[in-house]
Amino acid sequence: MTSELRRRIGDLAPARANLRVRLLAAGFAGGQHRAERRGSGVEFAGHRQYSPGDDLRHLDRHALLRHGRHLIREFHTETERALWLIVDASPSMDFASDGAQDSKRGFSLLLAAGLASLARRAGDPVGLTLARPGPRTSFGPRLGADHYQRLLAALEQTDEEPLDRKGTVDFVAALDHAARRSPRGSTIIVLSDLLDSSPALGRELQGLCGRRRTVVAVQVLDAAEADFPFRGSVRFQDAETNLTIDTEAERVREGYLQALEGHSVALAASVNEQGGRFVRVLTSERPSDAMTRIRQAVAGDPGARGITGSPSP
Amino acid sequence: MTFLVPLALALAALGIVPILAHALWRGPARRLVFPAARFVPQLSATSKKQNRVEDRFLLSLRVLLLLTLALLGASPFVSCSRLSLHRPGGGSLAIALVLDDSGSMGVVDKAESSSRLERARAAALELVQGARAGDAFSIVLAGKPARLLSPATSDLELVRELLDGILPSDRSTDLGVALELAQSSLSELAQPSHQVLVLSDFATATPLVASQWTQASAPLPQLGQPFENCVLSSGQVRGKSASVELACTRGSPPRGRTVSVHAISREADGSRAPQLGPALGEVPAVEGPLRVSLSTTASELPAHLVARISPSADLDQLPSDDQTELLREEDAPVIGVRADPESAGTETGSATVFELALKALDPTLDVQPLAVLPDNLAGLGRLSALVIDDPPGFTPEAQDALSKWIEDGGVALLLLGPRAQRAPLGAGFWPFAKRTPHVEATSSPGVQPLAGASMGAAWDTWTELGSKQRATWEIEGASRTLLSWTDRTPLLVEQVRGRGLFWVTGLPGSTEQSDLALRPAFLALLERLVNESSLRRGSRAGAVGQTWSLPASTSVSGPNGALTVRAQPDGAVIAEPAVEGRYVLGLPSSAGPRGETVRYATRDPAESLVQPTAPPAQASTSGSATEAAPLPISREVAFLALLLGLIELGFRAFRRTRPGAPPWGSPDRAPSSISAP
Repeated sequence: MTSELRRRIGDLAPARANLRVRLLAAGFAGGQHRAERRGSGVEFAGHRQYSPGDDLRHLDRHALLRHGRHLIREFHTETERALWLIVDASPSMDFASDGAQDSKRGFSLLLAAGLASLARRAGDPVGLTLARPGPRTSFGPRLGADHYQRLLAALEQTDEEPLDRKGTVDFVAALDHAARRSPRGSTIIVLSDLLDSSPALGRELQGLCGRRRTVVAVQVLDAAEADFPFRGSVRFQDAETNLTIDTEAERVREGYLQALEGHSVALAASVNEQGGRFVRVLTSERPSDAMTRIRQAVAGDPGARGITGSPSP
Repeated sequence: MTFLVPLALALAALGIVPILAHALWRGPARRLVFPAARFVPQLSATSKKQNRVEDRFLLSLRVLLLLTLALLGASPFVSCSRLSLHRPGGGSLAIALVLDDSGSMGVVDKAESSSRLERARAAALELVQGARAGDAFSIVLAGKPARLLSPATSDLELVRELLDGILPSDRSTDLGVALELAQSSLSELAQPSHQVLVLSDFATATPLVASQWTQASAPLPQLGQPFENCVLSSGQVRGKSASVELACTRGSPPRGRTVSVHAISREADGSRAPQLGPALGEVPAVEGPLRVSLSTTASELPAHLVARISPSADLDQLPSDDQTELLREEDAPVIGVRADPESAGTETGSATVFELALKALDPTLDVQPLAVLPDNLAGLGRLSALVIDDPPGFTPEAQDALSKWIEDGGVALLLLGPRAQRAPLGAGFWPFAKRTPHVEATSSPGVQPLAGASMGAAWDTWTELGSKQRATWEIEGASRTLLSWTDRTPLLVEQVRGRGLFWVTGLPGSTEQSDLALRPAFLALLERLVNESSLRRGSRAGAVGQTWSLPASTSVSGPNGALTVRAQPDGAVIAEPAVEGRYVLGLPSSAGPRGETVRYATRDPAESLVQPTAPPAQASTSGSATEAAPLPISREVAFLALLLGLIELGFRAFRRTRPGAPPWGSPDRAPSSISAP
């Protein structure tokens, strides 16, 4: 039986799409990413002095005739690059306003499945950490169809969980777990609402950026969270912390939007400081558009610094 | 307003409940599970629901709804000026509605927008509205002559139609006869209660007889309010001047008004009112006879002239009588009498029996004895009727002139006597007789009316007519024998010739020859001659409401268009003008084109001047119709409550679905994925 999640992956991972990173990959298996090593690739990397034993096929005859020097032409070797997906499936991600096509959790899981599909197609190993109530689910980055199917099954299982779950999730611990296990030079994509205002969240995101990793923090928000269109007297309650706020919605809207923006800007700044990227996507967007912006952030688009993505629905 | 359950009004105090609820209710604390709650500023001290316009509207609706429900519980009744029928014993009723359609009912009382007649008609319709099955209504109109518009009937729809069709008139008031008609219309009915309801202003110069009011009541005494009015009457034109009489009610002199004479530039045609031309003369209005000099560039005055007091509006309460027709001097009928004073005279005076009889019929008649019968049309033309007694024949010129005069509408009565046999050579009796009549002695005891030629009761007085001689003659053309001797010799023969008419009788007016002139039938014959002459020759004024007996197929057109005429069994038609004005009669003609003549109907000025009087005491106390009858309005109040409830529901539904409102966060809706309380 084909699940909804599997059916929608095809829309997110078309045949010509790929997930290329700006930084060089450190793997040894063949892949689509330029490796730190130089070898028998097709992309010219430069010259070096000839050393005995070098393959004479790479001797630059034009340089020998023009300069009388023996220079060997070098090429980039293409290798694999591990992708590590960290998906926040805490109860706060269950939120979906009326009219929204998907909850934040469902939207994040769909994006994670699409990204995993792209990585598999590129021959990159994929790892996954699912932060959900109860025991954490984590898979190290591996290649192979069986591993990929296990990842998808975990995503599907989480997607099919009800929306009124209870419990707490230590997402910071999940980030720490991934930071310790993810290999050098891997690509880490964090999918969460990133609404935790504790300083530990920023520190852990910065910690992920070490060891030449490419980190993209994707803030998944509902349109109501980004626009705050409520009216009248409302008692807001945090599903995880049971925090209760009595307020007058119209009068505090500006304050809310400023606080949310300040929090997001601070997180983005801390991530950017360590070379990472911060992307905001809304569940009201088309998933393919969100995928495009995540891929641009992964590819190191210079315009992707700060908070990328539309803050309004 | 009265209430069946006044205590239920205490429920109106519940109207304070929504007011308190709206004042105290600050809106529900809607709970929303919101992941970003930590970024929402706390505003608990001011998180009170603001009173919005919608809430005030809803508050008003709810308070009104409660008040309406309290009112409904109290079963309210309202008192209004509606009339209702009083049912002693609860049985069915026989009602005679006496509705006064006289001229004074056209008065529009101060502080009222409709005339008395319209108010009386509306009151009559209200009374009919309260009728039940088994009730019978008759309608009597009290404008002179009083008449039974409808005998008692249970067909209420017919009664309403007849009431709707009652029109204002210029008639005088005839309440006494109307009451008799009303009571007689109820006499045969089986209903246990008979009532006569008089809807009148009681403005009548005739004293009301208290004995006639045993069953009657006057449910609309407010119609009898004094009024201010001026009326024009007795208008006549003589040469280049017009005379008219102006009279006003006491205390309302015609100060600042003028009386002017106008020609009618366009006659009324039923749909349009007549159009007045410029004033031909004008004088300040003062009460009494007025003379207005007329100036016109034309050689002759226009045919149709009216006098008018102006300005009309706002200065009196009955504007319809501010204009009157002006009759011409020549419109007055002139009846010529050619009789020998020696033979047809009387011992007590010089006048002949014909002159005395005609004056007895109508003192205003212009009767002119003729020494010589005119032998030309110009001499005969000014006569509307001609009485010729025992002539010794006519000259050929006179015969020709008489023939043409009759064909042109002249009416003549020829009485043949002994002189007929002494007609000189060349004289003849044409067009009355083909040849010279034959006079013979008679011993016949009297006359007998022929079948189909009924002339009324007065003609029976000739049944035993005494005479020494009688004339027999042979008439030319189609004629009708109205009376004949017992031996079937014609005594009175009628012939229509052209537009005219003549009678020939075989006895003279001389009382020595016969007692024909001494019998009432003779007066009846002369009265018919006067009527026919006024009808066929020239104009004449008569009182409004007076019936006109007209030849068959006569059409009448008056100020309000064509006048409906009633056909009689003998073929004649009856017309009864109800408003003052000029009436054009289209007369049938046995030979030649159809002719026209003009008659005038004039109002009695007293009708416009006599102030209302109080109805007899019995009338106001024995009434069956009661005013200010309470009417239940619970149904209307219930509809209002239902309407308010629907508006309240509709408004709330509208507010939920109006554009721009968020799908959640409103008081009545929470997002489906949020754990709402």
